[in-house]
Amino acid sequence: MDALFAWLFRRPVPLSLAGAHFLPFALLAWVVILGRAVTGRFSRREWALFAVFAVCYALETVQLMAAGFGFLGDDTYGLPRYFGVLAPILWIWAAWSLASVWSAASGGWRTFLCRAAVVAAIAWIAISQNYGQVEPAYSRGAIPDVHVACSKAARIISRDYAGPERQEKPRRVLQEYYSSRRPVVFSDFGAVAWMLRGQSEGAQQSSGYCPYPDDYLFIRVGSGYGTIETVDARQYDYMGTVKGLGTEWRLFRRKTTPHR
Amino acid sequence: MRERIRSFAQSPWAICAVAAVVSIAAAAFSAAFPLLATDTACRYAPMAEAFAAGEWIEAFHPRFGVGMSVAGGLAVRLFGMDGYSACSLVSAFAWGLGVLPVFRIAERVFDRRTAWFAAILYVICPQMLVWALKGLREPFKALGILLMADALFRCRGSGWLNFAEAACGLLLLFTFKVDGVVVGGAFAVAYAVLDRFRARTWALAAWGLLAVQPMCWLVFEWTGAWLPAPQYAPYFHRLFGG
Repeated sequence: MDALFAWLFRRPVPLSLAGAHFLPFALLAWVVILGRAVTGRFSRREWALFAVFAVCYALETVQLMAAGFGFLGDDTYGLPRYFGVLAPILWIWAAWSLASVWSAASGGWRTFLCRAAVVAAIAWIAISQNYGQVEPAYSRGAIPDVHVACSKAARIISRDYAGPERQEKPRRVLQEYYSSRRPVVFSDFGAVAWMLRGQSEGAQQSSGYCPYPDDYLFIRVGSGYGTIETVDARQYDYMGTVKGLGTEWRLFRRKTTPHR
Repeated sequence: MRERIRSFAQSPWAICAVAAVVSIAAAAFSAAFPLLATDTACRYAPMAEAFAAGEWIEAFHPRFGVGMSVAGGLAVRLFGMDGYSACSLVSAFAWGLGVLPVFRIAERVFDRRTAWFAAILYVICPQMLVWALKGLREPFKALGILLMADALFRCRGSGWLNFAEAACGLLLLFTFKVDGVVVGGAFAVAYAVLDRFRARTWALAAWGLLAVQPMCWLVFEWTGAWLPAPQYAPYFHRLFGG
């Protein structure tokens, strides 16, 4: 299933559809759009707004299909968020539906009920969606786990590394940005090197474009980046295990890396 | 009290005040509690710091535009913060400013009540907020699209303020993401048609040409093709050689 999703997300059209799935706003918006379009209530301005949305969507998709960031390789590369930037246009129809319910009934308890429903819907969306998306990013789930593990690894590396702060010969790669900072850490989560504050860089080894050798490897046990077994013991020294909130990571140092 | 709220909601400055408050609050929150994202940690944050330090070669890369390096770098310079917090700050600020064009578009297409609900939905949507907190470039692109869309809706019979709005949108689309160039170009053509090729159209065209030059120079430096986005360089070389 993961392979199917991975394949789908590398195709422009399904990728673009994934970007439209900003539930529940988008779902509500599409219902309203279809309803108003089918019943002939779409005004000229609504058509114009929809045209803006559709043209932007099409241009993004065509760019991924035709240009396809082709300089990156043979395959198309993209993310749902490339299309997600258009979602606020959709939400305008969702907002219209809420405004319509708000002013649907005239007077008395019906008005109160309609407005209470709208307020409840907005409150539910705000709390459930934000609680579901923003709060876990800070307090639990994948990112904080990585955050904890990477913070620990960064402390170990900063104590261990004794080499220069910059690459002797900076190199440029068109496919990806690489600064000349050292140490270079290859990791499941490239941001680990950022935590070394101005001395390092997290390189995305999976892209295969990094022009510098890694100084350290920081691998999450049982995850996609690479397996522990593939780390060549002739090239790397095992430094130890680092624990996140729920995951286990292994830290390796390249034998040629200057260290204390 | 009710009358006061109603008259505030009717005031044209109300949404400006809301946008300002949301932008500043989001920027402050994101600078204090940035969410860690690989893209920002490995690209935009080091680029912003390099820009602030005047290391131009490390500050820019053709694949990622010039906008984020400049905006994040200026924040590093102005506020003395690290690159990551600076990127989160400017990204969150851009996200907050997006309230204003969303409101204006919804007001134009429907009515003021719908506009207020659209603004509320925009603010409470978590996906865009998370991108902003991570210091990604998407809020800038979204702001550019929304500004251009609003400028299109109001360009007939409007003055030079409308041009300023379109110019800001075009600048964001041309400088922050390489896939924004085509979208910005399409908006500019639509603006020209709706504006009936009056003086503002030519001013916008000149502005657009000026705005893409830094990217063109950067792409030329790396690929040898004077183009506003590097993904077209292989096609350029295929057509014209080199």
